[in-house]
Amino acid sequence: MITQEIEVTNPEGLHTRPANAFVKEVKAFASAITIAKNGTEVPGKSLLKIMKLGIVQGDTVTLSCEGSDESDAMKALVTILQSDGTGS
Amino acid sequence: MTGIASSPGVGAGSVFVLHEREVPLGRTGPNAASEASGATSHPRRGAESELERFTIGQRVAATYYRGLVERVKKNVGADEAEIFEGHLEIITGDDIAEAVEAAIFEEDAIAERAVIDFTEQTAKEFEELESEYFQQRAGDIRDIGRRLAEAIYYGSITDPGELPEDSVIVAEELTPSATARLDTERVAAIATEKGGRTSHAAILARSLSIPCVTGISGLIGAVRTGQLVLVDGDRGLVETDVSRERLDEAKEAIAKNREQATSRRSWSKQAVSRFADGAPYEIHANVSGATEAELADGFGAGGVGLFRTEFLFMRYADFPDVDQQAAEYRAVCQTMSPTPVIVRLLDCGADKPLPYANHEPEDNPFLGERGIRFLLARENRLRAQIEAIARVAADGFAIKAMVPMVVSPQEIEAVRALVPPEASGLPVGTMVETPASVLAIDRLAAVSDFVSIGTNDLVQYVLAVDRGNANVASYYQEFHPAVLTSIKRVVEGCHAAGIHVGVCGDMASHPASALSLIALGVDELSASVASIPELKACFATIRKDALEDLAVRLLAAGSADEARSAAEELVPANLAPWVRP
Repeated sequence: MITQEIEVTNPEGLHTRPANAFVKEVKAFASAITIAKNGTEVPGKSLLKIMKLGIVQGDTVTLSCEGSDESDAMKALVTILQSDGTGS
Repeated sequence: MTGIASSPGVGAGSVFVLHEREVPLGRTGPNAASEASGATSHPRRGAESELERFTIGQRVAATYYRGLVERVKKNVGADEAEIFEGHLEIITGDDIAEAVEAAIFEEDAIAERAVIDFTEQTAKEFEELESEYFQQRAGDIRDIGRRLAEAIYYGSITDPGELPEDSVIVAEELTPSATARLDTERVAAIATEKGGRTSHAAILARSLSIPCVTGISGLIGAVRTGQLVLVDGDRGLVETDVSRERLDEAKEAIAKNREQATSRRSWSKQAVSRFADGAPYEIHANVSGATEAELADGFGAGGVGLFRTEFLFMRYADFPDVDQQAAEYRAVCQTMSPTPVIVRLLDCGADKPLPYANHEPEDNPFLGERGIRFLLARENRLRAQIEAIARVAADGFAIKAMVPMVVSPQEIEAVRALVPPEASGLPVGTMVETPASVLAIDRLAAVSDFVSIGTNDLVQYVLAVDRGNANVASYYQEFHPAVLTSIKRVVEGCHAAGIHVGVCGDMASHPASALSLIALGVDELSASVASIPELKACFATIRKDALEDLAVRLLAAGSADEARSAAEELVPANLAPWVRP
């Protein structure tokens, strides 16, 4: 299992659109993935639970990935959390 | 029935009541068959059967949301559609399924009750989050719950996307999400119980030229879907007891009006913007979005002199992001290309509060945090808007940014500092609407690429008269010597600095005042789309050299009435060359 602390720089934080993009990406990997903020850990494929973390720009979250493709998954998810939100 | 006239015109057709179908939720427990309201809830047979009802409802709702995503993608935009994709994910995700299953098996709930209890509890959790954005998602979650419960109980979701031809939309209130689902081509008129002239329904209706009456109490109880009604958006009336003959008569009149509207529009489209002696003038349009820009193009506008972005912002539930804004600005520019588009930066506050902006109550909002003051206090919002405009400029469109409520050159410089280097040539202009910007026009012109005078606010600030207060309406005088002198001064200041000066206020939309503006040296008029044909018809009968005399008379006039008469003398009585005798 690998874990990484990430500061969310996406200006929208995990609003509906980026959070859904995050969930879509999680589902594309075989690894078991969780995201945690302030000690609350939720499954990476649960959009509602992720949104209930209320993640905004500047928050620090902890990503954990466990499985055969864990390092690829980590890389892809970090990209979403740190995108500039312009989609380009 | 009487309400508030919110969008002009008369529309007739059959009522389509747009409301949530009531879903009886029953009590939790085995004998949950009746409700206080008298509606009968689904009788619970057993846990397995409830779970199956939920699964079927979930499938129905998922199919509905998939269709919605496609439709929104086509009619509104990909970004907006992605939000509904998120809603689809919530409906089909594990969270809701697990919670519903637990309630069905452990609390003997019926499926509808299990869904609503879960979404209500989730909504409350969202309301407790710190971020305002997440607090507002509570409404989305409740909406999702209601639709899912509807799908379980009725096996379908009422969809305003499947409207019959000539529908009269009747609703308690039209929310932005309901608006996104409307097939506006089939809407003959809109009537709502709540709201007023600035409600979503009214703004949408005006921008699409759909007759609309708002604020009609007791409306929903008085009509039923399919009933024939007539909506008079000029007088704020809804006739509910309409005979076949009356309706046919009205429809005939509407058809005739439509025919005349078509010839008026095609006349305007082909009419060149020249005076009787061949001298050209510039006439642009004021718009609030892409749909109106198409109308502006159809009426032969030579550009957009005022793109009011606040109405665009009002269509969203939260500040639209850079992508969303850029898509909207690009759509308007594509329609108008190669002619220019002036985007006015978000002008909210005072009489145009933005629902999600958290405006603090002010004792004197017209002298408060509005226009550029609002934006400078929230620099990330300003930066996002400038970035969106800059992106469209970098694509090569003739887009310009205009700053509202300016009093000092520093405000223009602050905006310019945010323009990214790849769009450094983006023209930034001043909207002149305060006495300070008139008196300091030389300083402002020195830092501006163009100027446009917003006469509505300028008149109100120069004459110290609230344009919304009926008791002082007679003091609101566009032809007041102080107003005309102010305009003259701004024109001279701009021309001395070698920049273009336009007018985008209401004065540019009426023949007598529009002529006066040209007489005073204004380079460009930006008028409401609907007034362009009459303006072109008027100007075509007048020689430009006649305006020199008008300018002298305007500036010498001792009173507003005297100045107005001087201008009105020039306006011909018949301004409808498109009507064949």
